[in-house]
Amino acid sequence: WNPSFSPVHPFTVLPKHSWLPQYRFTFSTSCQQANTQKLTHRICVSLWAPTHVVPHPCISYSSVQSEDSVLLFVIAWTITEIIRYSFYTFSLLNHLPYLIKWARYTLFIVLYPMGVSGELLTIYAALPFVRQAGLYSISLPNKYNFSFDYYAFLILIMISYIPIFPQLYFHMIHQRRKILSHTEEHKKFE
Amino acid sequence: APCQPLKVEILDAKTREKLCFLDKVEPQATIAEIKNLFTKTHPQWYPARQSLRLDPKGKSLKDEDVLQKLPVGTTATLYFRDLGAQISWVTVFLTEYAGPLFIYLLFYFRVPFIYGHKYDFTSSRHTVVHLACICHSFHYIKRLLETLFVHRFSHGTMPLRNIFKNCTYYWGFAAWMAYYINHPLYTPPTYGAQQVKLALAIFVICQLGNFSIHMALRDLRPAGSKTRKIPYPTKNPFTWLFLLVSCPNYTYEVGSWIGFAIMTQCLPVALFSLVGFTQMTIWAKGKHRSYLKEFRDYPPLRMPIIPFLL
Repeated sequence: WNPSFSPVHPFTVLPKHSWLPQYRFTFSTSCQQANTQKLTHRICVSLWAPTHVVPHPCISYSSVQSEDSVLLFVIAWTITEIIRYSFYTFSLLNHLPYLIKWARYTLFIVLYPMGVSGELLTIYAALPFVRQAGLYSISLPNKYNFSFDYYAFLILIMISYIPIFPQLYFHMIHQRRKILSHTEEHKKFE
Repeated sequence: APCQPLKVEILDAKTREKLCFLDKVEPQATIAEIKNLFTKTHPQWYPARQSLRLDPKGKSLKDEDVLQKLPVGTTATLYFRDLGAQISWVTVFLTEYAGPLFIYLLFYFRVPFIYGHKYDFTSSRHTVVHLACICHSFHYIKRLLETLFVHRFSHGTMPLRNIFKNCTYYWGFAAWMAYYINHPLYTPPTYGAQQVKLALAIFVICQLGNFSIHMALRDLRPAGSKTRKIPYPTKNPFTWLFLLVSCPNYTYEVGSWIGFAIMTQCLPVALFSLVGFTQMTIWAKGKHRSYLKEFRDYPPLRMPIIPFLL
């Protein structure tokens, strides 16, 4: 079983939102959302994969931990993506069942924190391994006078969740209020 | 045209709320004068942060525009938009350039807490490191002096948040580059003195070129004016690049940084050059487009930043 590939492959960088006539998403938030997701998915999978492909006796306990946290975000994001792309598909066909719209703008309340927790736990669990193996890191001296510390980079990524996640989360909450109440009003006039 | 005084009402562009009503305004009054009158009733909105337009969604009127020449009746309706806190271009430039000058020197002199304690205040044994410090410092001193004595700005101010954005960019990259170049484990260029000499030549030529262009642009515009003219090559050979390019100052600037990157053989410098090049290309294309729009007889051979290519 290889959970590295979600059933719905996210081409998440392109802002599909711009085609939709009814809903206007801010380009920056949706792009931020899409780019962040793609980047963090890649980081989390690339962290989890080495701990499994090359099992390390010293951190076997954290392989188990990271297995659970990987499960957490893969399930969260898979469900999210299935709903999200169904939403887009039906919207384009101009035949959007209310259930899909409701699901998209309600389930995220649980799924986003689940996904983010899974990602953070995976990164955290992999940190000792990254330090030990010097994964993806370059040190001085070298011909191009450059260095990169993947461990420090991961810490920065984890810290960046603090400003970024609330912005995305509250943006979705705001969208939910706007879009679901809009539909309620429409229903009243039918 | 009648010399009767006009009335001016100023409405908020978003809420259409009536903010100010000016009775008896001279028809020859300029927008700048109206902005000053508006500040009297709303002192928190100084003229630099006012944008006045004829249409709520239209373009801002210029300070020099005369009220009489605008398509208004006896009562002019102007729409106001707050541009936010403003800061002068000169202040921003001085701050963003002084930072790298100072920061680089902190790394060059290996001030404590940057590298290991055994390296505090030590000096590099590589000539190229000293040369790089001279070039980098010269570059930013040149920029500071040009800001004070050479440049003639079209706009007085820019939004305040720009100073934070710009300083982060300049200061951040300066620290990143300086860290590696002045590092005790710095590796000098692969092709040694030959590479350094060639790179230095490129750097010096481009610095002279960039300065020549700045002087030529300054001479196009008399002090205190905001006129715009097509720049042409002068007797100075460095300005002959105007034959091929609209913004040779940017061309020379990229050249300087490429020279510096070759001299130091440092990847962060190359990345800084790349990012700078991207930004300057955007600016050059914009400038080129405005030139084409404004001047019918604009020389067709010219490209925005790279001769024949870009």
